[in-house]
Amino acid sequence: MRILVPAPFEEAVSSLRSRGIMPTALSSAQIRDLGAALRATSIFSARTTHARYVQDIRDAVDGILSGKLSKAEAKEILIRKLAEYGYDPERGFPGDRGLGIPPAERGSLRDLGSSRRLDLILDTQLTLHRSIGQKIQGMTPEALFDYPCWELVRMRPRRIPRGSALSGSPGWPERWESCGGEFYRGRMIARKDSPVWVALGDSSRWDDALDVDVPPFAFNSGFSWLEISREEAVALGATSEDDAVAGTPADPRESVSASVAGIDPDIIRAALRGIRAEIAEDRARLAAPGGAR
Amino acid sequence: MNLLRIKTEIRDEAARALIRGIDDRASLNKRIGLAAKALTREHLSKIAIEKHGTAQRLGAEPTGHFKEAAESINMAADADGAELRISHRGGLARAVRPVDIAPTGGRSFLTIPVHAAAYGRRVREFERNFGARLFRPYKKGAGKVRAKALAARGADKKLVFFYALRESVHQDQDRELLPSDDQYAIAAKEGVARWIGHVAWLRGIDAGGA
Repeated sequence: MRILVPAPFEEAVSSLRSRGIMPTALSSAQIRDLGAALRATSIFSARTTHARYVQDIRDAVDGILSGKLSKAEAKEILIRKLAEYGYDPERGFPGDRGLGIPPAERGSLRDLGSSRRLDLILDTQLTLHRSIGQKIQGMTPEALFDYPCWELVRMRPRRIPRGSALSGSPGWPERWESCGGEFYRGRMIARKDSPVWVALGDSSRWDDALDVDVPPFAFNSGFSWLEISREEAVALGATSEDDAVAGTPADPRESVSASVAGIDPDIIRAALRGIRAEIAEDRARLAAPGGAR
Repeated sequence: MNLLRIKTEIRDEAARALIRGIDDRASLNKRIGLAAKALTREHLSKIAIEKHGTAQRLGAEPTGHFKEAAESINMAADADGAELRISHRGGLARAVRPVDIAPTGGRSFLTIPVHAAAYGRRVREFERNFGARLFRPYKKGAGKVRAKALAARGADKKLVFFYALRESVHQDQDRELLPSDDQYAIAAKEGVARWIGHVAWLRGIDAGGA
């Protein structure tokens, strides 16, 4: 097996490239009223009217997902582009005044070149498209069999996390419970086909939700997904041995058993016994770096 | 591009017999890749929560660097093998080899944040945000020698240092940023086991039956 650093995340890049750009003078609240279908097919940012700048945002995200840019480099490029297009927080882009866009305070979230704004747009887009990539890779017949569940876990510590007194926003465990999610030994785990994933990102339930069924689910979330193996999910009670997770193609046998169609069942049986015994008893037998496959 | 190769050897004779018999190893390699990917993402998600000492020391919001790395892990597999891909620049190359960082773009120095307001931000971004130009102050008591640092004057006219300047930075290899070879080998074995289990399940074969 090889590990490549950095290398493109092709499914995430495809997800991004499938979207058009939508320059808009609308605020976040107004954009939410546009309808999920339009939002799901576009890259946009509130009060961002400059089409080329929206394209620049998409290019920057593309560069990061492709392993060509770091986030710091992308932010520098976007700041340079804003200056090039004549953006100023108080006046906006040239022509913005006529569109009724209110002035922004420098450094605030409404200032398109502020760190808070750049981090928000890049973090949201990156997590969204990487999560879509994870979902695509996680819904193949093999992945659904081996890893039938997702776990919602914190991956980024926050000084003021959702759910804390200062946040003024329900925390993820509270949202989980409200969406019908179950806790397994305190962990937020659900099958990949569970409706809880849609509910977590539903903006009719949560003001800050993005109407997506993948992380980040809502703006500025520090939570993400991990895949949970069948063995662990069964042990925790999140699924059962014979459960087939929806999303599996009509004939899941196709990809797996076509390659072993001609093999004698006795060989499979022997391998099954051998490999199970191996896992229980001897972790080193398959662990010989430098050996051949 | 940095590359780490992890090789695994299957010694169990029954498993080898089964693998020898298959026409296309893509589905087997995919199981190995899936297991390696899950292992790596879990490993990085733990680092993401534990490793933010610099942000804590400076009192800054963590950048989410390792969260991004964990989210960026993806996998490709074909009949020849499985490949883990990390589409994230910065940081994880250290898992593969030592890293020497030098300034680019005609710059003389690297800028190392020493203040919460500078953490996770480059100088251009910092200056854009705070509407203040940073400068290299003269070293106290050293004549016209400038400090290797960038500072600005606060409202009270006092100097506030935001970045240290360095000609280069060397980072030793940190193999622990990724799971160990042994952990990958165990994950590969689990992947093989799941593949065999799935094949048996699909064909209705019970391990103990005749």
